[in-house]
Amino acid sequence: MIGYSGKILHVDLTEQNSWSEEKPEKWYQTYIGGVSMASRLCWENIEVGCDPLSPGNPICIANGIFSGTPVPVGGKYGIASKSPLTGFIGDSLSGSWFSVALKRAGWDAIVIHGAGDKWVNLFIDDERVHFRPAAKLLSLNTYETEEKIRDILGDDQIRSATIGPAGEKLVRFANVTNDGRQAGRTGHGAVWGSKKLKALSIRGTSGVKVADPQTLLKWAKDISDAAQGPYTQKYRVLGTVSNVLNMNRLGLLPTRNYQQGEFEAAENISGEFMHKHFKVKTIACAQCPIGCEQMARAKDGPYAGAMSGVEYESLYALGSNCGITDMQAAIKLVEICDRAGMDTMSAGVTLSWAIETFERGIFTRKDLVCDRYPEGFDLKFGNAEQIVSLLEMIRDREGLGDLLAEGTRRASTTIDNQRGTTTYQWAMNIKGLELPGYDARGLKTFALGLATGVRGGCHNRSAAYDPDISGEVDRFSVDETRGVLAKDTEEYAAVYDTLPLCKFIRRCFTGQADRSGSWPAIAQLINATTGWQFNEADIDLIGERAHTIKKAFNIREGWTRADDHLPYRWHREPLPKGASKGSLVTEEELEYLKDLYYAAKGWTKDGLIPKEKLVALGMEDVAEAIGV
Amino acid sequence: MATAKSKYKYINCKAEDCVGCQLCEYICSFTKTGEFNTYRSRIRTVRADEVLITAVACRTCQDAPCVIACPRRAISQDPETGVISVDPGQCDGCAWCIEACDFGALSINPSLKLAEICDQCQDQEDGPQCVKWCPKDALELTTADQRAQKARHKLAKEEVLMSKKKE
Amino acid sequence: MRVQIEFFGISRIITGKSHAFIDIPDGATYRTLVRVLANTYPKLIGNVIRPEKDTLQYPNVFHIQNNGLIKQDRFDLKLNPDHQIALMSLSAGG
Repeated sequence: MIGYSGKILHVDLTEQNSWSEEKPEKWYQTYIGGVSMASRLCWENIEVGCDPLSPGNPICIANGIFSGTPVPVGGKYGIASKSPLTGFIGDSLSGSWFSVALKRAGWDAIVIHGAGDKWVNLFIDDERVHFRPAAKLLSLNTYETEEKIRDILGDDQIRSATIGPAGEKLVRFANVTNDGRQAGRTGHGAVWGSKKLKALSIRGTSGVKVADPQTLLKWAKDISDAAQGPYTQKYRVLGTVSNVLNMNRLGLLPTRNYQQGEFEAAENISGEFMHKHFKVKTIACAQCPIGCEQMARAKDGPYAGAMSGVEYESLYALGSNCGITDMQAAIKLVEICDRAGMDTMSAGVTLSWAIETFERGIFTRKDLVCDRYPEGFDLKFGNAEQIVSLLEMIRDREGLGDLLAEGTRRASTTIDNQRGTTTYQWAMNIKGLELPGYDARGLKTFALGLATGVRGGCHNRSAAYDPDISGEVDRFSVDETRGVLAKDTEEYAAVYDTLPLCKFIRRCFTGQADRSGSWPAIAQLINATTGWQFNEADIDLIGERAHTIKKAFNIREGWTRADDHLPYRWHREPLPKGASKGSLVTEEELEYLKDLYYAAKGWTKDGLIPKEKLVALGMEDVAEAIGV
Repeated sequence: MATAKSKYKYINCKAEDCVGCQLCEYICSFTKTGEFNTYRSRIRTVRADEVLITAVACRTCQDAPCVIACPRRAISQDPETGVISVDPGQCDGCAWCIEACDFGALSINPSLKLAEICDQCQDQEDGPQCVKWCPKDALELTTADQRAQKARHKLAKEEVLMSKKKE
Repeated sequence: MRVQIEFFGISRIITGKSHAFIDIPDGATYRTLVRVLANTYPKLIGNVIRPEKDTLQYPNVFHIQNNGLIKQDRFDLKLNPDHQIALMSLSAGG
């Protein structure tokens, strides 16, 4: 095989040993890499029904097919485990130099089993595996951990994926960080923490070869040149944070725990404001000619010096969603999450649940009493000082932070059981994963995509916001086309998540974002890398397979149709004002949309997958296990 | 150090434009070895801090210290172009040139144990590949004099603009 | 008539303004508005407005408050001084 080493590394943290696995080329052609291969490895190696924080839950890392080559934005990897937040598949993506190092170390994927009884820094040095004691790394933040490892091992080419203090404390939405980027959602940090894995370091010294380097280079140069043009300008100049004013204008900006869709201080926490006053520099991931990460630094006041890369999803969750009007406070909150190694989205939406619960009189000052704050404190939307304190308490699992570190679903269930309250009504999650920065009461195709999403309330896997926001369909109503639309957008996204390629490049192939624009180019890139002969239909299959293996995983772990739900607020409370005023999604609409979607996917009315479908996708063993 | 008399060209990275993508390292290693391997690249990016990023290649010093330091006289400098070259027959990988170079522009090939340095892709028709590939136009093949001229122009424009604003 | 337009995203960075008042003949359409913007702020051409000056460069769109998006196919819509117009760069995602 060309383009792959043909070797998957298995590591057992309990026994402290390792071995290599080989798979047939057909397996690679079916799962490719990224989230698809990672999810497939999770399917193969998990102890079915296990607790996500137990040794039976494997960490599965699958590299990108283009990592380590000049294919723009191809330096990415996928990671999958059972999610401590949802109990379903937790698949994430990260990128940059870690994936390059993995490729050059000669491994296509890594599966980590079991759990250690002492904290460890797993170091993969080409073909050698070392279990290094990690005692000196404990309590270091994500950035410090990477630097310290480079320092100790004496090579700045060593790349590490690490957990921060939040992962060490098993905060359920802790993440994994490498090279300043994050495998952000679903709680990987907690899984690593439960295995006492503080960091995974890699050094790879071999070169990367491809089947047809001249063709690959020509494509890479063309795409790189196109990536300097209008199709990526928004990302390069402003970054994703330009979505704040856009969503506010459409009445969809989550405000004060999704109570409203319009934030009166949106200008103050907008990307445009950040660009003008606080932007330091734009930086890029490895292999990326776009460069979209906007580094912002607070200049004065109590948060002076706080700096991090700020994305839209972080800015809404810790900004308008918490009622924060001060951009510098928002930057500080993002920095706390990034250094601690926590998902900014789940953190922000959990904070906002807590604040609303306090404003409704259910939490009181007494609930906030702890060693650090013996008098407790109040919680109010927009009070940055209180919110910073509470976020730090979550990171440290101190006082109320210990409950909040469990995420909105568990926190609200616990409180409701203890106090006979109904706080679940404003616990904004789907399947236990907190919601993204788009209020789908005014985006009905997207509401379907979110409800049926395999990893929970996730915008990235769904991508059905596109037809809603672009006006291709009427976002305030439902019709019989939405099932197919949700399926198509989700499988389109799944292709990018499997290769992986960063979605920001999607128009740079031929100017079109649709499949006819990019699929032929992607097929050529795959063929030039591996020598295979993929065509457009094969690319379609990549997306369908990626999604199906994840769905199959969920079914085997106990998913039923009832798990595809929307939060209470979105069914019962219409948006009160703004451009999307009055909209909500009824339960009838949701069930209708689910019927359409399952039919479009070729599944049963209960959302289960027929055996023939799985066999046709090349997943015979999956058909045996869960096909109907 | 390249002096005012020097017409030597070298590859310079404008740090404010560099985003740290490393595409220069990929294309350099591929051009030289046929593989994508940043350990074999003659230009290296470096991140001193999250936002302090640049790339470094040979700066064609006048009276290059690496030439003087080599105990086996394996390194020579072209008197016309200033480009440094290493004679693989003489080099034994002792790494004294690495010590001598203030910029870290030389590297030792990990498998051949030979010193390697940027040669400005003199064998390529379209010149240095890293310059051609940099997506942000942060790299240029330039002389010290050209860099100084650009800095002076920039200063003059800013001063004129500032004074115009005051009017 | 006079219409007010808010600039979001790239158009704000380029014009340096968050909003502007545009004087435009009665009966003018959104297509006319594009041309007037191109003439008033020539730096928008290429990045926000296509070189032909009669359409917007993807992914820029007009949005009328409480009326929705105005994309290419609705550019012959007549302007109305009551329209609160925003010029947005709408590629969702991230």
